[in-house]
Amino acid sequence: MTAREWLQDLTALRAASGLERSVHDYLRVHLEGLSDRLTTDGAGNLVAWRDGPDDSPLVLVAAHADQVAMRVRAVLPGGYLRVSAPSIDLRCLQGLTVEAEGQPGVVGMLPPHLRRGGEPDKPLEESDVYVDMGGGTPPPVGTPVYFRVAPRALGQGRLSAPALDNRASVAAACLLLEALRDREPNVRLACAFTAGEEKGRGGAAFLGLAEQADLGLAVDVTFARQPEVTRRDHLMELGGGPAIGVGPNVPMPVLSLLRRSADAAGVNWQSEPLPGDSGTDGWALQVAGLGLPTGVVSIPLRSMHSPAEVVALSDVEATTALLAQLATAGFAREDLLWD
Amino acid sequence: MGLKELCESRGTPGREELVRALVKDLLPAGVEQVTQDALGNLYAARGLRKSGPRILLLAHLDEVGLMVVGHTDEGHLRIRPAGGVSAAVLPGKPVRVGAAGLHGTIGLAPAHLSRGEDRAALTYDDLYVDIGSTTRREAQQEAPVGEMVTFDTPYCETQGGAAIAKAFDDRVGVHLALSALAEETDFPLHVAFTVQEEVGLRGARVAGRRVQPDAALVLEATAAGDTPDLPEGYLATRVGDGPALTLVDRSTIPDAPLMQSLVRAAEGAGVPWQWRRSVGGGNDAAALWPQGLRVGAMSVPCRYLHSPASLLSLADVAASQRLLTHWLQSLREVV
Repeated sequence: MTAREWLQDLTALRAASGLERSVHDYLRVHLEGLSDRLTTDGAGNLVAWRDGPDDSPLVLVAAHADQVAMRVRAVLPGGYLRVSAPSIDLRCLQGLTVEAEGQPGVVGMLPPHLRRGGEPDKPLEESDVYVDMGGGTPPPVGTPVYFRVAPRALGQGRLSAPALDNRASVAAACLLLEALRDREPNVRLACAFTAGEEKGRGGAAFLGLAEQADLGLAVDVTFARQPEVTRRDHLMELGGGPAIGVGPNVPMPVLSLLRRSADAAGVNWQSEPLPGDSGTDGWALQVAGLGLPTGVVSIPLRSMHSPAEVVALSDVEATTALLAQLATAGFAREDLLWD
Repeated sequence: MGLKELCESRGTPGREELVRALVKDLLPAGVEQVTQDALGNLYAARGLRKSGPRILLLAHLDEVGLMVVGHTDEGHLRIRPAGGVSAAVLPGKPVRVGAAGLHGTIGLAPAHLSRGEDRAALTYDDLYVDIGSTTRREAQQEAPVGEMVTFDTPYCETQGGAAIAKAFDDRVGVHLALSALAEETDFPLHVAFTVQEEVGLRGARVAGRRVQPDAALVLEATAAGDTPDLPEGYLATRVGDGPALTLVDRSTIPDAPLMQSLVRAAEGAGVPWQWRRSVGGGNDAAALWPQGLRVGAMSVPCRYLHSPASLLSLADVAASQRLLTHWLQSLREVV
């Protein structure tokens, strides 16, 4: 399957944190032939294994399967829903089509006709937001409410869809397993589709795998440069290739390995400064168990946590190429340790 | 007739050609005459040889949307409203650009990267359409200045019998007008599918003068006020309570006998109806009234007008259809 096909499928799935089953069910079907075995754990992670030479290093690739979502907090008279919307960009909500339990609804707003004279457009507060399900039985408190926006192809190989954070990375991991169908890896590979990243990265922290792995790579998305983001010239370039994180989450030996792999794969890459918490599963993985060499590879993305996230397919493909190169070339465990 | 297709069709003020072509396709058998004027108003008539009063129904083809007004070095499109569209409804919404319908999306700087004044309400200066172009030149070629930009909201129906779509204002009126044309009349029935309502009721002005009807009825979508963000006293109409009849609005005093005939028709047909309880707003009637024409307005209550996704009750649409049919049948006695 192409990157576009994986992404069309994956972004059509709905998986609020803790409810990753739809993504896992899809992956179970589509990765069956691409992996040696699939396992799950109590934290809700799905792991696809690709065996390599005995005693070769075990590389853990973590891509979180969940997405940001709202949740029903209360049902008002008339069936309107109040929602909690942490991490959601509230400015996107007015007049947006959403869905709960697969049924359509709309985020309400006052039309200009009924606004009192001169009332300015104020930014929404969470307590202003209500969802109109158009009658019927209201969904119970706690039900996730998702953006109902279909993926769309833009020009120049860009794709826009909700939940590209982090299905773009899930797709890159799927493409990696696909690439390794015909190429023998020189490492053992565990692709973990983790749960709950958008809720404090619970899944990655509990991955028992961290104790067995020799290298942990978080694959996630990061902010791409876009208009109106001022004073942020250091943001990554959409279409500029994978962003390889530089900072405390990525020890220098791992950084070198990632850069070498990208160069050997012949792809463009960029350096993403991560002076502290990388904001990815990598931050949790690094200190899981007895401590793990970790790296962070991110796909640049615009308009994060909105219904209009945008990625360049070339960045997804280049991320896969980097990972495939690393997996096929292999490395020695000592390569990952500080001198 | 084709409410889904009508709502999903695309046409901002002055760029109604796609909607007009669809309406022509949807014109029912029985229409005797189809004409068009210089603005693009589309006229359909039947019963032209009948002797009764000349009745004109009006529904506007255009919808509020956006226009491409410029391009950035990075290949994004700058936009301005075509009709009344608050910048607050735009961020993150999918759109279609130009008659070809290129996919685009309205980008916004992520909240994570915005603080202080940047997090205040967004204005048109802050917003742009991303069609994937990477250079100004490419964007100019793909989407030249002046191209229309419309919301891209697939029509869908809810479990509770409502429908969600863009452009119910005024495709629901177009839908009602088409269904009226499908029925035999015993008087000359004219329908004007008007242009440019959303930028000043411009098509209707010409339509009134061309048809010179004995009475005109505007078929519209009107704002509902039955939402949690409005105090009860501000309620204009309630979704599900039937078609809304206008007593008065900001710009028109409808003809009282005509409106009473609509009330009688509603009661005769046994359909629910409500007064439009707001004196604000306006519609194509305001263009006809100054011409000395007897005008009235019947509207389907609709939430979230002028946004990417508005909502109405399909029962209200059916009731409006029945009311309209009944009214047209009863007209001989009225006029």
